[in-house]
Amino acid sequence: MTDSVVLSYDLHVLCADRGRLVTQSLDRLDDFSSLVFLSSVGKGVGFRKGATESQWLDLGTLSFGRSLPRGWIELEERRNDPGVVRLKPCGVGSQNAYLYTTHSGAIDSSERNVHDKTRVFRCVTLDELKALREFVRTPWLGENARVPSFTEASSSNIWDITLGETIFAFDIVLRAALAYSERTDAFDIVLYNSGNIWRFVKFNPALLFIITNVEDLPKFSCALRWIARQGKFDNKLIIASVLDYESVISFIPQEWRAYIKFVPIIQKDIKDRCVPLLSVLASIDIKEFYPLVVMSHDVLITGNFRSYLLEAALCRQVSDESVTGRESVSVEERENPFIKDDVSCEPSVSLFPGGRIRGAIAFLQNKSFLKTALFSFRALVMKGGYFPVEGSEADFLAYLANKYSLCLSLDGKESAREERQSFSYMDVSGWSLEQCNQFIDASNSIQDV
Amino acid sequence: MPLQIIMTPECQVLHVGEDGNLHTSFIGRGLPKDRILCAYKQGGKYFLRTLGGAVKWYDVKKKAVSDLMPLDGVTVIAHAPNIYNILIDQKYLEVDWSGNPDFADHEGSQFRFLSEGDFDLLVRAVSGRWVCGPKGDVVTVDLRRSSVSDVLIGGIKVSFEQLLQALPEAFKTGELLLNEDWKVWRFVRYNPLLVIEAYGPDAPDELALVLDSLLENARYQDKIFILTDYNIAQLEKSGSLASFSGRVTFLDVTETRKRHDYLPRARLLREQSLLEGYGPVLFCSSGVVFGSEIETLLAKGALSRQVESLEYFYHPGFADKDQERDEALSLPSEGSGNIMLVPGMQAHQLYLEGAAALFEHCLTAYPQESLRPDGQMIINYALRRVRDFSSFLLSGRVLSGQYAQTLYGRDAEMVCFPITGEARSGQMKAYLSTVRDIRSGNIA
Repeated sequence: MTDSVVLSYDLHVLCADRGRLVTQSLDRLDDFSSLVFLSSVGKGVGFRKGATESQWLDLGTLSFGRSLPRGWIELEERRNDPGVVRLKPCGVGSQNAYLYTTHSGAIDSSERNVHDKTRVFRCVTLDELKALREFVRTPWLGENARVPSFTEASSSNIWDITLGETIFAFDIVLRAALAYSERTDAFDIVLYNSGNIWRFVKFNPALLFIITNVEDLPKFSCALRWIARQGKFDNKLIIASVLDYESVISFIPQEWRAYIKFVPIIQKDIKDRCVPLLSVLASIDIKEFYPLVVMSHDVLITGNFRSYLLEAALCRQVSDESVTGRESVSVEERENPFIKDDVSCEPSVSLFPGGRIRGAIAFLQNKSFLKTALFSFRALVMKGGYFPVEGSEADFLAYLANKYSLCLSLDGKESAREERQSFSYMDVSGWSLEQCNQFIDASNSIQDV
Repeated sequence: MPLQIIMTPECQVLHVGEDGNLHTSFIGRGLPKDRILCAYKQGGKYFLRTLGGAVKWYDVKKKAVSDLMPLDGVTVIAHAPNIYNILIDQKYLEVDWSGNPDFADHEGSQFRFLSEGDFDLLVRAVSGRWVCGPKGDVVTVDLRRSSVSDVLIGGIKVSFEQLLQALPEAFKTGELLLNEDWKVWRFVRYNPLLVIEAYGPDAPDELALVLDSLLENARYQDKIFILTDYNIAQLEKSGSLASFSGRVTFLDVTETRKRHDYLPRARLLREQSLLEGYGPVLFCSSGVVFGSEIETLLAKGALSRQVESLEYFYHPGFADKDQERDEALSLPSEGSGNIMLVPGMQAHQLYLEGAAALFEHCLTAYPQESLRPDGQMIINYALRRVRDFSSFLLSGRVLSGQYAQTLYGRDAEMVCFPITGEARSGQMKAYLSTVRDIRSGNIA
């Protein structure tokens, strides 16, 4: 038998704590050092502490510390309930006892042979447990939802798992969670029950600002003030900057500082200057935040940003405005040099008008895409190619989306546009700082009235 | 260092022939592993031995195969990652103009060393077909025009090293992402499958017609699964099958079909072991006539990021809006041929499984009269809910044959005749005959 870990009826996992066998909730399981494993022993199995240690559970005292197992456990499968077992200690003490989970979360044994959910367990592999833990800890956004859903611990167990208000069979969730954990660049899972089918995406959005000049900081502060008008900010803020942390932090509202992830950029070579976004993406864990939204210090979001974030997360492909939002001033279409020079490209939408990357880049959150993009950049630099021109990185991302069929087809694009009318932004790059502040103050006054 | 298979400058592998001498051959030609030579490192020296089976050694001094490890090994001189010169007994190994191994005093040929894992992946890549995006050309890995540093895929030159690094992920996801200089390229695996559902007493007639149209008009040359409740032995005697010899697999679905025509397809989608590795997969009923060449559509379908079908959505209990439900019920979906084009089974497995499970649930939860014969509508509903649905490729290419008379004279890519309808084989025959007449110039 392959070593497995054991879940108690209430979807907790069996661990060792101060030598005792206890249960621990999945979302609070920070590492796997306290896990106990079921390993083959004699006629059955035994509990072993940790993946490599050889401390065995003494079935007489139900405490760890034995270097050799004493007794063994028989797994009794329950009829018509596949995967669910009772654990019967054998070879030590009473021969009619079964392990059960107490109200306090400890594991004990009892001779009462009653039909009781506290007396059943489910064995899973370590990979399955890791996948389940990730599932339980992840905020999931469903279609038409305004807020992400979480696994409801109080109403979940080893038969059914409740996500938000919807109940799914344990096996369905386990399978989806395992598939999710195995797909390195996927952000969605599909769950179904007898009534319908749901797609959920990971919802842990982050705004990414790339700050390269100290002069940009005051306007960056304005942009944050403006976002704050939208209501409570509870997303992550990734600030990638060549400036030191202390210089940047003073421009960030106190209440937002807990949400900041600071990424120092050292512009040591041409890559960091010419493709700053790709460079930053290559240096962070792009699977941690979804969707990632690139913002610049000189735009003010004028639409419903929350609604945009929700749609950006759920969207499977990109169209022009789904990525960039709509700018208040129309920008002249530029010819994309990459699309022009690669004859294999199909006619395509312009993702970043004006050559400025703004908006969700969920479509780029794929390590393989990123890898080939950086490879291209290196090849271009070698031959003195396009990238030194301002806006080339935006053009290149549009080219990438074209070649990888990431853009919505024309009919899909039209419907996407209808759904996302609520997001747009104002380019204030030509405004002075005073103008920005006056505009924000005036808008706040109007809002107060 | 594990065993390293030796690839020559012409991308052939070094092996021992039946005569015991060194030879080279292209991979993917069924060269047995016990003939392939590889470099085996021991004590700082390399020795040449066979890859599989009972190990044989190549004695470089005697230039012969032996059962025992020889005393003399070979020396390798690195040129680039995994690219070496091979020095045997003070002479350089080279490959002459005819592709035969030879020895020279001067610096010889450069060889690529490949681990067994990389070699296996390369064999798989070479033996399969790929679709190059975004245009949709079907291409192969052309080792004959490749070198130890670059590989040609459909005329696109990519780095050998990058190809080897990308292949493991490509076989996991079905998507191969590569660079050619600054250009990026996306290739997807092309291993098409057609799944045809042929039910009822008309199954032999309909199958004969659909297979004829596949051969004549669609020029389809790949695998076909036929789900049927008809006597398979009788169907196998059909003359139309002769042209598809070895490419057709019959699946007897007598039991599942009793509940609903669509159930066998749903079961196939849920138990995907039969479909594993295929893509694109085109599902349709036997009431479909193929009007023109189909590879372009299949290749485009392989590149699609969503399952392609026609816009018929329906769920007996959860229609999004009342109006939608009414519209769905009034749609002439019975002429849709139950068409669905899945880009690749791997990438869409989770979505399709969920959709098929939903269909099976509807089958038991709702009365039979509320379920349309076209089960694809429920699958479409489910796929749209999980954003894995698109009608971009099929709408316009598939014509409903419900009013077949109006279609005569039109050379459509696919024409679908009513899913249920006793006379549809007659209509199919008439349409096919019209297409033949158009092609032969009898009808202007």
